[in-house]
Amino acid sequence: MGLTRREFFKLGGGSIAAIAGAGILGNSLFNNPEAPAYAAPRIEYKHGVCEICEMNCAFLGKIENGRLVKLEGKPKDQHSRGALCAKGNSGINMLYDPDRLKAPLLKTAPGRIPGQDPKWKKISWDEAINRAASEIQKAIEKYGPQSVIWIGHNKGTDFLRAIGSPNNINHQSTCNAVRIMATRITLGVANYVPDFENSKYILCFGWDQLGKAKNSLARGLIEGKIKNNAKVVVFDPRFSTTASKAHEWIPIRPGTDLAVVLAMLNVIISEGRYNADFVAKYVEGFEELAEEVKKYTPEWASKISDVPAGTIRRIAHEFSGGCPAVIPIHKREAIQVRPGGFELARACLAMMAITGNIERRGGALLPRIAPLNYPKPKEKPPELQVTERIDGGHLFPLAVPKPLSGTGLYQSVPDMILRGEPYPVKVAVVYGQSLQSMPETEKWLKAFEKLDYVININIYPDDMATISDLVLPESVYLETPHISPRITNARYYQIAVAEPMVKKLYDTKEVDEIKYLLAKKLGVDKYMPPHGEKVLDYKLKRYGLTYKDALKKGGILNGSQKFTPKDLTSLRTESGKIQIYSPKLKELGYNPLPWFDETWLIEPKADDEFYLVTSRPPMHRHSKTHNMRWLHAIMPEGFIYINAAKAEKLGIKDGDMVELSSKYGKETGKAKLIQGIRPDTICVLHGFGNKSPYIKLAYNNGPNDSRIMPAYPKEVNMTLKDPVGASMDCHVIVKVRKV
Amino acid sequence: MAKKRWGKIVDLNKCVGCHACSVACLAENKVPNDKFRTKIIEHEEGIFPNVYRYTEKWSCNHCQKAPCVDACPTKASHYTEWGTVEVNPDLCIGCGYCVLACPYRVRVMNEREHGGLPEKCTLCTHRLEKGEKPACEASCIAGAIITGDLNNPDSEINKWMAKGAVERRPDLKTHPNVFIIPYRR
Repeated sequence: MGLTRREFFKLGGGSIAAIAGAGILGNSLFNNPEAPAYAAPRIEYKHGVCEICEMNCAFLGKIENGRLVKLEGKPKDQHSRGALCAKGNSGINMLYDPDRLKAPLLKTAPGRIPGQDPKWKKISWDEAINRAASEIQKAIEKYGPQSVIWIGHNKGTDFLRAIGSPNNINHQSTCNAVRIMATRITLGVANYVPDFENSKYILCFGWDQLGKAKNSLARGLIEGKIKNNAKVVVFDPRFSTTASKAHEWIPIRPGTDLAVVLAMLNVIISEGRYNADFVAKYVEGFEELAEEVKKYTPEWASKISDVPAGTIRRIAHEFSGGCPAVIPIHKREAIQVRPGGFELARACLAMMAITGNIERRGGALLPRIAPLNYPKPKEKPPELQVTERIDGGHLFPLAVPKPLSGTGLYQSVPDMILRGEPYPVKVAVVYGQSLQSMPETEKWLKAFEKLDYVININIYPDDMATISDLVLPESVYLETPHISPRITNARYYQIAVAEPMVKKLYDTKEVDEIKYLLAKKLGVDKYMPPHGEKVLDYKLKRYGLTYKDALKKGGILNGSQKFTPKDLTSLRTESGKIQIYSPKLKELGYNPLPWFDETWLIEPKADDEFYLVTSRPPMHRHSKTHNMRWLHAIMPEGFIYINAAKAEKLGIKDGDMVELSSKYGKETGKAKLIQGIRPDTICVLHGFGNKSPYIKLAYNNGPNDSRIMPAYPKEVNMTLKDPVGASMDCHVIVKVRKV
Repeated sequence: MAKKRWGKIVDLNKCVGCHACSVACLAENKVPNDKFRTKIIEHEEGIFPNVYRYTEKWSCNHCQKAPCVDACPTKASHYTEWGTVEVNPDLCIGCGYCVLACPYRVRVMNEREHGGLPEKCTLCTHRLEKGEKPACEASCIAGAIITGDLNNPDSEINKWMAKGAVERRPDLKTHPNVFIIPYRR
């Protein structure tokens, strides 16, 4: 038998490898993973923690000949349990993305138009830090330190404190602020763990973590349903993935979940179906709640929500039947996106509290978050001279208890910059936020236009980078060491430790180092906490371990996995018990109990008007994963879900381009017709709509829902009686037109 | 010892359609050009508000009477000792007959260095033989996939079989080694 073509080539490859092995061609061929077809690859595994979403699944990275080829979930990790979602698996794509930022870039073209050629000039880190620091210095000298703001992820707090600015702007008011604050008032913690695996009744209001592929939550709910025979009921205007796995889907009118929960509370209390023992021992404010919910009858809620009164009664009966039952809440779903979101989160917590489902297996568990030591600066920074924040956070003491802390009011920032109130803002440092995350994007762009200097710390040259004067490249999480205590969904104490998978590929830095270098240039580095590898050991000090020890132990440190209930009379709430009636809220001028205000309701009036809801596909996370090759190959563009029957009436076919217009802006995108959505509702997938051609895969990838969402100034937040100053994203009616 | 017969079951009541399996497969098998060996198919049926929807992991069924093996002119597509179907790249001439022959349409042609090569699931036998789970099963966030030895009556996969696993398109008489537990409303 003769040689096939392929065998011939293989022989060729082998002989080249042999020559290289003999040292004739030097070492270079060995470092090239493509070349030596027959040399056994050098394989090593390293410990990592995924930073694509807040779950932080721990994984092992498989490195072949120095190149990271695969990430595999660690079975011992409570989040990954051996699995990683599509985004986690694709982390390699981000690391090796050819479009990544590789060096600091200086914009030389005028104007701030997303996607316009910024005529970037590559500069050195020294020059970049010098320029950034001198712009910040100029602003501080002329307008005071408060004229410098940091937008993004609470990462700039220490830097802002060091220079003396209170303006820590973070996106949480468009994200999870409502959940954090409601849970903090009621349970004294920022989140709770839904114990799906042991539950018998899972009641979801818009909650769709299955559709977003949240690893441990998806596994938990499926196990609860299939192994533990839990009943799953989902209220959602859209037939979400969670709804598709549920026993019952109730297509509720958007923004009216609160009415239904209050009516359920009414049924449970008026029919005496609450857990009297539990309430007497652990719940504060039950009588007041009973009085308040008297007026919220199922018939009243039915008129508002389109849910039959009988269904409300039945589900209230089922939920309070004594079995372990839970209502998971996350963010941005029914809970977050409309006025009354804060009240809805509290009402859900109250419902679990009066049925005795807090800190009970199968109900809502208090999180078990392992504490770490956080390093302090050498010198205590001076007190802030200006404590009034640009976002009006000082007016919302619940959302912003102290300047620099809290969740803030993201949406009111552009208005305040434009008005120059209460003082002018000159320099913004934007970290990890994209234009897709900025509601009423046009207004934000106008606000950025008004600034003297915008510094962007980013991984990708996305559209935020194209409008910034200076772009500083950040390292990818796979290139840096870090320590992750389990915060979200932490069912037992656990810490995961990560090491760099590969050496940094490009001239990038971690955000902590960038902050420090800026502070050093400004002469305030003594107020900055230490950073980098030396603090890794310090963080773990209380456990008598070094960072290296933790890696040797498999990168995961576990506490006891046995469930020992926590004491519900020494919570960090006002009374120490589960706080349903909050005197603090009353003192601040808000309703101390969950309540309903019918002025919150909005309604589409014409046939082409819709409620807006948003969601995310399982293979993308916000706007940061769209340039990852494999994910792009699965879902290259975003679209708008419309009810098929309604679309036909409007003459819209599947795949047609439609224009969405609201009071706040316009956006066009591709329509996708489905049956699983209310005829009066459209759903836009979030995170798409990048306009920068420099991230080639994600360029022009669909509609950006933020462009039609409102960014209310603080005054509107106050009139809506929302103590958190959040939850208005979807408080908008959208007109749909075929284009 | 009885001969092994590797098989797989996907429980459509658990699958959430997150694509973790397709991406994990791509990474594990270093498939070039992003040609997915495993795909997710979404089914939506009914009319509002009586709608149901489910997602299905769609990849090679490893038929015991495989039309692709019959169609292959060079015997590149062949049965392995474990009852799975694989392609020997050294024998493959990239003619694409198998792609057309597969009634499940799970094969897709890929450009490789030396010509066309069909991409298909290998059931990660290289991992199974080491006692590891295949990439898709290991990465399934919903625990919807199980693989194992169908000839071993005590294996976990045979417990799943008893839960109502069925062949895809039994009318084709291809006798797959990959089964589904159908979606129940």
